[in-house]
Amino acid sequence: MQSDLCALMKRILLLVFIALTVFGYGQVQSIDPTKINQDTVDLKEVIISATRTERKLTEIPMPFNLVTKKEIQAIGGSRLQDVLTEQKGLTIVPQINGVGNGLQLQGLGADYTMIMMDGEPLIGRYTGTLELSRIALGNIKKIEIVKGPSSSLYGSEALGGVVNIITSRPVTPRILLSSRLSTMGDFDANVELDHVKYKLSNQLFFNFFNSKGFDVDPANYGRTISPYRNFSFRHKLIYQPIEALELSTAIRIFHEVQDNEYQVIVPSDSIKVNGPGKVSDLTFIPQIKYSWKNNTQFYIRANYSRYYTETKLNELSSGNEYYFDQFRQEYFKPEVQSTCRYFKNQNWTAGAGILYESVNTNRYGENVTRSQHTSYLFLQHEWKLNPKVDIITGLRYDDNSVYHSQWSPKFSLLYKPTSRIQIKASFGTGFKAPDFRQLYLNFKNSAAGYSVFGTEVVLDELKKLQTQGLIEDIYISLDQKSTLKPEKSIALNFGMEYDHPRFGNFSIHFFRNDLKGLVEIQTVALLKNRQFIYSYNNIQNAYTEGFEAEWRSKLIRNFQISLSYNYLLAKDKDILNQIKQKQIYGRNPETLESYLITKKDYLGLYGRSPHSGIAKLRYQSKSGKWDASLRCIYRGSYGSAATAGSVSGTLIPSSDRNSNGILDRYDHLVTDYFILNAGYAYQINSNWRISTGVENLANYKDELYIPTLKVRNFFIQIQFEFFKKNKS
Amino acid sequence: MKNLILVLFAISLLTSCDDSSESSPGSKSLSVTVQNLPADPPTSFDPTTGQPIGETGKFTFFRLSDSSIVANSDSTTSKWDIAFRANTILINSGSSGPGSAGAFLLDGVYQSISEVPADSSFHIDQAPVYAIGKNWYTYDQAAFVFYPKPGKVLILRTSDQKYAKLEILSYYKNAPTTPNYRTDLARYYTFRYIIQQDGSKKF
Repeated sequence: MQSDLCALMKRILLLVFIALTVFGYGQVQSIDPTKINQDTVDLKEVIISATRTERKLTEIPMPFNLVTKKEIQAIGGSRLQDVLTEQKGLTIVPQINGVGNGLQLQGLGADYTMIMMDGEPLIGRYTGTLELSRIALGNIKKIEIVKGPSSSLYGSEALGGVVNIITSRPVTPRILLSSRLSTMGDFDANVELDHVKYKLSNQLFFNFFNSKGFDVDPANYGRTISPYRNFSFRHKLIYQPIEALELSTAIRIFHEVQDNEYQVIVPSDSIKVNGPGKVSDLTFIPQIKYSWKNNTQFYIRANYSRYYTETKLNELSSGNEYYFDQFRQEYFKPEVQSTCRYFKNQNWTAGAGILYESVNTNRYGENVTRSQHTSYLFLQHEWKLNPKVDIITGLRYDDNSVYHSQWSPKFSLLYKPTSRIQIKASFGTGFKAPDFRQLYLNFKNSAAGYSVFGTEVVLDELKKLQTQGLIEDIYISLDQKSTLKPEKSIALNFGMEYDHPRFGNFSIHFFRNDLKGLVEIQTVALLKNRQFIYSYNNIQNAYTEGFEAEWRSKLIRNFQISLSYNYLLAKDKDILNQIKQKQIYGRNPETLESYLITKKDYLGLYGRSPHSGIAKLRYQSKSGKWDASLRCIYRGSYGSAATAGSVSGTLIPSSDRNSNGILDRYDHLVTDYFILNAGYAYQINSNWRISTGVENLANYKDELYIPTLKVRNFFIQIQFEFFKKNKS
Repeated sequence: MKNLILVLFAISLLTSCDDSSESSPGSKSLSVTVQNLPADPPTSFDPTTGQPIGETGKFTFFRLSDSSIVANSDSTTSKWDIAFRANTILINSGSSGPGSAGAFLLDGVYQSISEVPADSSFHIDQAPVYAIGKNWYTYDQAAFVFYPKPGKVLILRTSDQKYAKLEILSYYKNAPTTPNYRTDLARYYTFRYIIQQDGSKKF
């Protein structure tokens, strides 16, 4: 049924594509070619995340996406994942085991992409993933996505790339009110106040979001996504006493409460539980920025962030506490950066900072606060050799108190043989520091029959168990502590872009990431009661490679079209090696026959779709008063996780039907699917704007593997904006 | 015992291998697939807790040479070769019985194992460590499901010193492709084996 629908949609999409192409040919002759691509890309637009300096869109030597305010508005969403879902080369990985909506970039998991707001990382990666729904879209001006390792500028976490959410800057007095309602029962309200007087500008932003959640399995107690509500508050204060000097502060506060209510599955039973889940975070960023003689810019800023989450579950029948979990993270980072242009066409950027981080959670032992600090330095040289060639070289050094120090170099090249062709190449390394969980976790689950210890505490715990005489067998050396090393990547990106005067912009970008020492769970001991003890180690080696191709154009008057396709191969090198040595077998669960797995049978890492793509069609009326859009997101089939997971008591099976630990052709893949979104917006007058749309128009469902997929959801949004026009 | 359906795929007289027919004369091997051998299975699920119920704690004893179940009263004799209860498998040796059976797990594809490797060493049961042990299955801790590992073949020496290869295919009743711990009854073995009746180590 689902695959029939998919096949049908594929056919429709192909027809639309052919029709548009043919129709486009017929139309194109009558249009003045010089006018066609003008507003596809605003040439004055800049990107800051690729180099930490402002660079024009046509001068970025690595693959990137720029999501403009216009596009964010056209999507009509309210949380960050609504926008990121529709970006080429990005996959939003659905929630599983309480790990939220994560981001996959170039085949690298959610832990490996840095997510920032106004250039400062967002914290609160409780289980490695940053929950994207924490971020309200309200006062966001644009989102920059830079692909490929960016550790040479941003350090740990920026292996796959960076996502930088840039908020608007108050330039004129303004009041903005907006509200959004959807049939799923989501309510969203925004207030933005901009105040500019003398040399002082102020921005207040407030968002309230209420979700009723939803349920795909009414037979099960509770809801698949429990209802939650949150508010976000953002304040920005900018004081510019003289043109060259700018003092600013930014404060952000977020608070969320979720009314959890679900069944917990245990081997013998299922237990109905309920209770509140809380998340709150706070960020304070003061900054001084100084520009000197038009060729030197300098800033000093600090980022203080705090994140707290707590989950409390009580048994419904008895009211007794069933589960309690709290996690507190603190982050403090003073940083300086300076950019100078001393020679013609050469830019030097240098920066340094210290990052203090601490975590306190009941999962790392009773009331123990774990902390670490990292000192870092980075240097970057941007050199415009001639009008055709740009070279950027960067290097960063991170020195951490727990793990080994890291050097992260990067070299990028941009070559423009003509003004319409861009050739981009970059080579760099990335790293991800071991997280607190991998270092300090102290998790004993005697009911499930296993324990997990972080690498910094595992030896002490094993020695304790040994003196108690509980250990049957130990698989590691007790004399020497094995320090966890950062996970490393070496990446190569190569691409071309061609801007055809009639047919629009074509681009293709190839990537290859070689990942070394990925942290995996390792068995370290066996207890006399047959329970295993696990810890972590840098075991896994993998690679991801593929390409991203896009065509976007304004072929037909007022129509904008874009098609993108992403091809991805992601494989575990050690598994490939074992296959080579004929050590892995598979079973066909239907015939029950066993086979030796060949290289061809092995499908790669879990959760990676080899094929994915997005088609977007947007129409803007001549008057500019209204616009409409239709977007189709395709995700090819992929393997569900290595083991079964659960979302609010709904079991999500593993794809691995033959239990050989790898994804192979005998396993059951998650069916490929299309999500269709549509939107329509009408600007009534300069103050009022109304927009409406639908998410998941075809109401695609996969209750078994993706229960968190939003059902068809119609929404309406009304916006009121009042501002003084006299400023310029 | 009605659940036991014996499917005798072939009782065939085979010359073990054409090339080596000189050294080993005609051999007699029995190839059998056993479906749904109960190994102390639950009878049903408790309607309120969903927990499987009706287990007795008793082993099912099995003889390979004529693929028959041996009565529990004969558990202290050499009449049986292999016994199953839940995911524990015993062989008639050491702490489990008076027989001199032996066994070990061999990595390989069932069909292509043509003989007992020359350098093999057979293990015997010494509770709590058993010859077959736990390495034949994996347990999905999140889905609460047992899977027999593909590519694991049990090489057995029976009580009467015959050699056999045995592959476990499923641990659930009627061998579902994706077992569900709430609806599929566990502790029903589906397995296949070839026993060489002439005492040689070739299958």
